Amino acid sequence: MAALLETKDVTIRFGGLVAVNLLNINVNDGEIVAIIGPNGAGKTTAFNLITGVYAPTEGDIIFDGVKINGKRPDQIAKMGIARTFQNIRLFKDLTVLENVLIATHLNVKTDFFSSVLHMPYAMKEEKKMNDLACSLLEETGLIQYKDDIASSLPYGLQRRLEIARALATRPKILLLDEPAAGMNPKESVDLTEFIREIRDKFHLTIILIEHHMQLVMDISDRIYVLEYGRTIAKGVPAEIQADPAVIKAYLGEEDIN
Amino acid sequence: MDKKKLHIILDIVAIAALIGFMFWANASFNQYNKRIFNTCCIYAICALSMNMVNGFTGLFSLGQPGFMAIGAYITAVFTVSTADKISIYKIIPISDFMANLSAPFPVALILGGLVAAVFAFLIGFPVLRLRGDYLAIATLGFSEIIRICITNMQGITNGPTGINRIPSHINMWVSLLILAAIVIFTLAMMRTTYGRALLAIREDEVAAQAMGINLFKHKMLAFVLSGFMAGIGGGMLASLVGAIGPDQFKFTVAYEILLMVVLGGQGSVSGSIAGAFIVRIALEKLRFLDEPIPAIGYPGIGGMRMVVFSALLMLVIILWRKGIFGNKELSWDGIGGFFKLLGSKLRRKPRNKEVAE
Amino acid sequence: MAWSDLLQQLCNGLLLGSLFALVAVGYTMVYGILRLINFAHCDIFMMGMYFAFFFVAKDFRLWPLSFIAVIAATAVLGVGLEKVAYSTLRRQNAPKISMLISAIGASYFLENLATVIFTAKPKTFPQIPFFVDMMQIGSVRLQRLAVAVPIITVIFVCILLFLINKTKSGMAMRAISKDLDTAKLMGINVNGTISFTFAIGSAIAAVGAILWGLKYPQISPLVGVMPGLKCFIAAVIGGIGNVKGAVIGGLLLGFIEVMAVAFFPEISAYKDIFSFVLLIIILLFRPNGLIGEKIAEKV
Repeated sequence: MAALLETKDVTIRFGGLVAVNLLNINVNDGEIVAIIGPNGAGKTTAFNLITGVYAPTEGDIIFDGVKINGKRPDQIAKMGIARTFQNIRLFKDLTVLENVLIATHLNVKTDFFSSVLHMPYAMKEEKKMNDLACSLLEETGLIQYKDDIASSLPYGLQRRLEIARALATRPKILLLDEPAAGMNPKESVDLTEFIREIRDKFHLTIILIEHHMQLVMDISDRIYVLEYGRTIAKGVPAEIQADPAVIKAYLGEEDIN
Repeated sequence: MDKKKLHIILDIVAIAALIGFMFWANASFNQYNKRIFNTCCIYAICALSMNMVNGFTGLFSLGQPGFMAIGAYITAVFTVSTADKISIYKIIPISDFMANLSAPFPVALILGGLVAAVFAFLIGFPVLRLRGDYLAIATLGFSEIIRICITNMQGITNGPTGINRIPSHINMWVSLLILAAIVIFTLAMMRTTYGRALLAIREDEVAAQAMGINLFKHKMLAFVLSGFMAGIGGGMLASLVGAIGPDQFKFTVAYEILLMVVLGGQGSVSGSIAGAFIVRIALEKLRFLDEPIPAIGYPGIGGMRMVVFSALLMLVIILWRKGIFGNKELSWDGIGGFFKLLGSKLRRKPRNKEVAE
Repeated sequence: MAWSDLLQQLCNGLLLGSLFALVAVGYTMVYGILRLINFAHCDIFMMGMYFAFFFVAKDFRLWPLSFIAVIAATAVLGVGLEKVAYSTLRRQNAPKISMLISAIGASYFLENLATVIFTAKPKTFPQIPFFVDMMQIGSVRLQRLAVAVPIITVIFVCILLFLINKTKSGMAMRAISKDLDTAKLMGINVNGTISFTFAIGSAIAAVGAILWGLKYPQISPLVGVMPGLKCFIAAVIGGIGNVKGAVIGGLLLGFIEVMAVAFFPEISAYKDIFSFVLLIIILLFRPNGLIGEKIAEKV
């Protein structure tokens, strides 16, 4: 079976800095894959490359058999890649429901004028979008906050809302950028469960960046380890835990005195 | 559900009151006050035009004077009679084609809006790719380009002299009706998924794009609608004033509209309307500053009004950034909440006194 | 076109370009440090012209002293503007757009204020023989300005580059332009440095205003607007935030405007449009200007 998402020797340079160097990732349908590595290793840049925020200097990104590098982020989102952001980018002044509704916009079929004139089929579609958004809020346990302003939610719920919003685009692949950042141990256990749940319920493939090792080892089918833009290791969690290069990257070399 | 019913009743009462006011005002306002009302409505339309891009979409555009000028000139050329046009165009005689252009006022007005929208579409291609403050300069530049072209294209626009003898079709009912139509359109639009997409772009472009919103397409949508509205506003202004020239559409007009939008609250329809009415009426009421006031030995300084007025713009933005409505709309709940707050404050006052005593 | 004509036009281009460069430097410095278009810079420039008008008119012979006073007064005005219009908003952590609106408000205010104080009736700038007398170089007849302005521009730009690259306050400026918050944490006097930047930018605008007034001796409250827009465009063309870029952009714009009018006199009425068209073209193909650095938004 061909991989759902594949990066082929993807490289990006910013001036003299090679932020991502010859990245080769394969993700199969239904997998949960983690990308880990020290800060500044190029993990978020890899996400930005996949979602079209940056175009790679070299290499190709293939999604579902189609080359997607050079496409705009909105085109890529339409093809079925959704993401969350490391530093939470909600539509802060809008309500929780509106945040999710906006993400259903990419599937809208009604044209602008029928929409403004509130034509019957426009209203029907609007209702469908509303239902989808509400059901997603239900699934993510946010329905009681639906009329609250997004920025008024506590941090953990904001992260959840970002996931709900990403799900509303009906993605095939979901990219989660540090979903457990700032969570306490109990919350991150819940999160592990939650990620598995949405994977099964929405038939998702998930790629996540995470520093929380317990979560990564628990949840991932496979792991890629990046350092200074290079892939220094890949494999199932047990292999990664035993890999000397990874230990060196995280803990530094043993001091022989 | 009772609340909903109450709101509908309140809506009907408010509309009835507005219609009542209109009948009363039409009968008792003098020409001067009627003109102020019409100007207020026209500027409210222009403020809504700016609010569409600056308030809803988060684009900073100052192109309104250019679009208004286009709307105004189109309306003028199509409504001034052929004989008048031939006598107005003195320096370079008007071509037969131009002289014979004629259309009823509503058609001319809409045509003006449409041509302004087409211009918005054309300049949108290059300028909508620009970041915030660059867009401001580029659209300001566009306004100036339009003005320079109008000044120099004598055969079409009659150059710096402008066009006069534009028949007046504006009265209080017409102004209010057109304003109401645009308000209803804007409010209806902001309830649709397209309206929400614009808000998403304002809130966070990167996230909006990641959620599949085509930034360029939606920015263009807002920009073209804004151009259309400003074109309509310009056309109405031409018909109200009766004479137009390039100097009426200087970039400072954009600043004036900006003050209205900022004062009312960026991203609020109610705010833009309130801002337009407050600013226009204040501009009229501040006229005394330009006249001498013998009682306090004030000699009357021409232009003082504008100094106060521009100082106001700065004060509002520095001390009261959110404006009157923030990005909210006027609603019955909002009014109720306001009175509750006021009530609780009034009630608290005497109690404090008691404590003090 | 004869050689001498071409040479004459080249000199005119150099003159206009140098004037643009002087004002463009002010835009670029403020943008470099605050990432803000100082909309009111063109009005600082205009006020500089009025200051010069009044100070020089007092005693013609003392023009060098008057010029120093003009530069000082304009610098003070620039710092005052920063304190009133931008500093308060910066302290509130206001969004960029509010700063921009405040800048527009300040610009509008200064224009209206000038109208009240100096009236809208244009005034004539004092003609100082030292600068405006004609001279003959080969077959070309020029005002002395044509030589003086480029030299003065070069001197001031060199001083400025030295200031930015070799002095401690220059280092503070560069640090703030990279990251204002971190600069603050490193103990840099941010407010002082920003005021200093405004003072320098306004002082150079005053130099530009004096020279502009000598070349185009009509002053009115809106006299700064067109040069202001063009100089901002020059700064963007060169790469905003970069002093050398502003100079290159200013010269380029000056030459283009003079040459276009010289070769196609029939379009001279539209000459103010060139710069805007050029701006849009540059921003589309080289959004960071000719020698500007890339400013990417962090995602």
